[in-house]
Amino acid sequence: MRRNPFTTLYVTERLDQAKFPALFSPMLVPYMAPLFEDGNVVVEGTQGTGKSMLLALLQTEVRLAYAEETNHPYPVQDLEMCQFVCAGINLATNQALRSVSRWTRNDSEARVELRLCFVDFVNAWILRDLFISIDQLTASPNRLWEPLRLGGSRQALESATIDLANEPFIHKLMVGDVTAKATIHALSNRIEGYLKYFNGRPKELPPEILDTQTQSLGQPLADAVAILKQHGCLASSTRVLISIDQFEQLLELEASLPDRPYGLLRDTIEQAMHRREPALSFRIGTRPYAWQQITGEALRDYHRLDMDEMLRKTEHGNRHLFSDLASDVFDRRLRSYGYEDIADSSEDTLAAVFGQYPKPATRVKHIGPNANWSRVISVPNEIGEEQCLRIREIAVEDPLEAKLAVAWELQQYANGGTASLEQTIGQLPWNKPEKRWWKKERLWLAILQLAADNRQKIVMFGKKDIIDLSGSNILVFGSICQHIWECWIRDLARKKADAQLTLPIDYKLQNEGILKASDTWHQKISEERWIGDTLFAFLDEMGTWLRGRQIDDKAMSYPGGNGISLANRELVAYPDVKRLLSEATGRGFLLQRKHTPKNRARGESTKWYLHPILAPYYELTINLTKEPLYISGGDVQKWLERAGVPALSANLGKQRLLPLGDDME
Amino acid sequence: MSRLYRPNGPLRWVVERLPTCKQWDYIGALAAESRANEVVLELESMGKLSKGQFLCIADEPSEFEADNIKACAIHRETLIRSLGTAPVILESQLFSDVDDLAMISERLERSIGDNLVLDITALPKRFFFYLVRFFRSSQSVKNLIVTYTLPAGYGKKLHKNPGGWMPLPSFGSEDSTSTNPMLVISVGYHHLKLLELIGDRRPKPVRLLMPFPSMPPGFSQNWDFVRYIHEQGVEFHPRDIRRVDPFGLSIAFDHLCAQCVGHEGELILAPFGPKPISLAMALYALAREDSGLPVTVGYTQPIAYSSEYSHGVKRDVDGKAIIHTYCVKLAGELLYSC
Repeated sequence: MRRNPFTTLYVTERLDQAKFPALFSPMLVPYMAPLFEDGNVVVEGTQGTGKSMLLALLQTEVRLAYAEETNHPYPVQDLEMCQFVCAGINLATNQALRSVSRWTRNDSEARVELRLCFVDFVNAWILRDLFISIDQLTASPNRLWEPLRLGGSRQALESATIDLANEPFIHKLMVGDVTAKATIHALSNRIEGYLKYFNGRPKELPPEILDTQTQSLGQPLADAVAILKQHGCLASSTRVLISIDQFEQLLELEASLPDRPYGLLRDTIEQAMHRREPALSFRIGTRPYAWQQITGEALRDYHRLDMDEMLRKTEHGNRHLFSDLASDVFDRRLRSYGYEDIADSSEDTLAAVFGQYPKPATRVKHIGPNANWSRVISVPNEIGEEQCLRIREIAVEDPLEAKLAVAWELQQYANGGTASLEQTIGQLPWNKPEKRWWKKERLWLAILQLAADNRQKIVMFGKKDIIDLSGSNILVFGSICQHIWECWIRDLARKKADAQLTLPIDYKLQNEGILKASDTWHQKISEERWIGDTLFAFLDEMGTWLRGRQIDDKAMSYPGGNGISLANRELVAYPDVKRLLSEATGRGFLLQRKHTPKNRARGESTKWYLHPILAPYYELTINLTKEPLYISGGDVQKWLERAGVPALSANLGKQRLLPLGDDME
Repeated sequence: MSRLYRPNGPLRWVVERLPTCKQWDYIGALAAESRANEVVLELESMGKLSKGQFLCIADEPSEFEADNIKACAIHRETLIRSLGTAPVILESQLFSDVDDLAMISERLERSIGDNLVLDITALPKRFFFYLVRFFRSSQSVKNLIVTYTLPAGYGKKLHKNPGGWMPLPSFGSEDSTSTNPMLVISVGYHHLKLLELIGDRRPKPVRLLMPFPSMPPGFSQNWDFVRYIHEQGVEFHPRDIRRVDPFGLSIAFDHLCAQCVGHEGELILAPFGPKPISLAMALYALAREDSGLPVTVGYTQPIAYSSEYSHGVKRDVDGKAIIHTYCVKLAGELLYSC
């Protein structure tokens, strides 16, 4: 039975440790050196850029899994860079968010109390993780502990533990022997004491916790590390990395509390980094919108790694970084799921499986293999009868050229002239060398309009389409592959059991998989916490509007009309528009870029595009080039009204929204 | 030891067979849904109503707000007319925390006697889960029956903007060490953000409780739910999909007992399906807690419910509202325990 190498897609970032070395692509690691060096690092990126995978590389269990592997060495080999022990917390999965369960308990002091609970819970969790890490490392010392010279003997850990047991927030929980195991147990008790309290049972925190609550995040960890080093358990040169993933959850939590106390919880982490505690180096994984408002002295307190920027085509001079990453991920998945023969068959596995890139004529052929294009092609009334007949004549031979002829003729007509279309197709004006960019820029739109004329969707397949649709997002890429593979396996199952794997995969199956992936991502919009349905309605309005404009733009005056541009000053007058665009961008459904408008008087502007994976669903082109559509804040406001979005800014204090810069102030 | 027979049936039928309970106190919701008042009105018509208390729960701001307020006002008027007195109403917020819920429950408890009808028809899960916990263990309530009234139909848009997966108040796990928990999903119409939980926790095994029979369009929505989570990589075998009567509390409870027996690690229950199955999950979670085993019941709470969540009241051939009634505690004895 054939397996889908991408079935476990949803847990891409949380793979079983044993599988990690085979499946993790080290392509980005060379750009991530700060992760393995001294100092605090913030790894920023929208959903699916691979932040958590990178942070997982620091985890002890994953490092031990690498040590077991012979085929896949740890991606960093420098001894000094590897001399670290990591402990951490995933804020989404490790229950820290439940700190807000008792929010209204005592209104006047609630904030202080909540913050203390959060800080102490996180400290206890990370300290326990540190002990577990050291325990695991010293349990099999020849794997990492000794080769990397991370620390001393097991006895050193036990003697350090005795000192640690004098720390107030541990000793009250210790019963019986003071050992490393007992300390882990004591910390688990402390954590579970909180979990019970979060459930409302007991109503008050037990005194042994309440009297020893730690005040600042990281401080007890720093104290513990100092003791561990003092006793020689950790070598003085061993760095202790504190990983805190899914930081954005804190912002969403703050936005859900009464009076929206933005910064209440996030500040605790910022302050920990600001203290620049030499014993600890923080590693924070976050979506960009949660971090941008933190007021640290950026370069002094932390190093920022922006995954989105890194993977964007123009960054770091490596235009192929995402493509190379996707190819490597793809290759590794195939090899791990029994498709070694395919992976071995070509240098470029991705191209071997999906084919390279459909030529425009091929795409048109697939849109309407049996279409009578002469009849199907839509020719607007402005075009005279004679020209219309000629266009329909061209369509018989080459519908794409006929569609370009429509655009060309309409542009001439708008300038008060008319075009000569009598030449052979190769001699038509836009086929002259000096007009090659005019033509190139309009091919996608021409195909889109032809598909619409024939009541079909654009057919998408091949390596380049898949990479373009992924929009530099590895999770989207995996999702596309998953759906295509699913279609392929089903198709093979329908055929004989011994059906040969013929590659590349049939374009129809690829196209079907891409449409399903697009549909799935469209559905994901509504899954966004607290705002999903609102964003869904808003983006549907935007997608439908853009689609209408692209289809109606018969003159193809705006080949980049799959995006919008707004003057920044207009956004001030339309706070709801600004907020929705910001929410959709922060969650990765819109791509935002600075825009220099043709007309300087318009002032600084910003342009937005729907994420390419949504293009098949909304039936839009996916190229993000050329001028976007210039629209006003009022136009977008109308989308909000049509989408039934209630006034957001008027009810700001009552809405669970991410803050804009102004809200923070 | 679980009771072999757990009485349930139509409200009138059940109440008439408990002759020692002369009068019943009632706790339910003052809500926008037409079906919300049926139980209290029927109790009144039977001459069995002692005191009625109503929770009026405000959602977060949304476009449904104005219609919800209007519908609640109409239903309040109906209650005044039918009961002949102003109903006792407790105002509350949808996102009340565990301390608010404790305070509300204690206040409700102070003014009721031995016999309580808890009507979960229009109570959100955040509330009815907590109330079931509270009154199940209440020393003063000796007889607890839970009711659920069927609507004539459901609206197209049920709710808005669900949040992230969080434990229902007081139903969070108290175990900080378990990994790969077992997950049981009660299949509903919308998966909301259930996948977030599945992705984060890598549960294994996964079991599904599928309402059966289920009529179209609910039927296809249920299967869409299953298809979607399967496509997203949630691993389960077809035999892991167990059909349960959507109103068969006792069967659903026994299913849960049977499926989870021997699993001593953390259990996560995801009540996305019909309310009686959610009730079974609440009761099973409490029974499991009594056995000292870790359990979480979570949900992805929407910020608001549509004023057209449901319409009308489903009636039998005699025109009587169909009210499913379940005895949970009789003469102090818990009928649902493992």
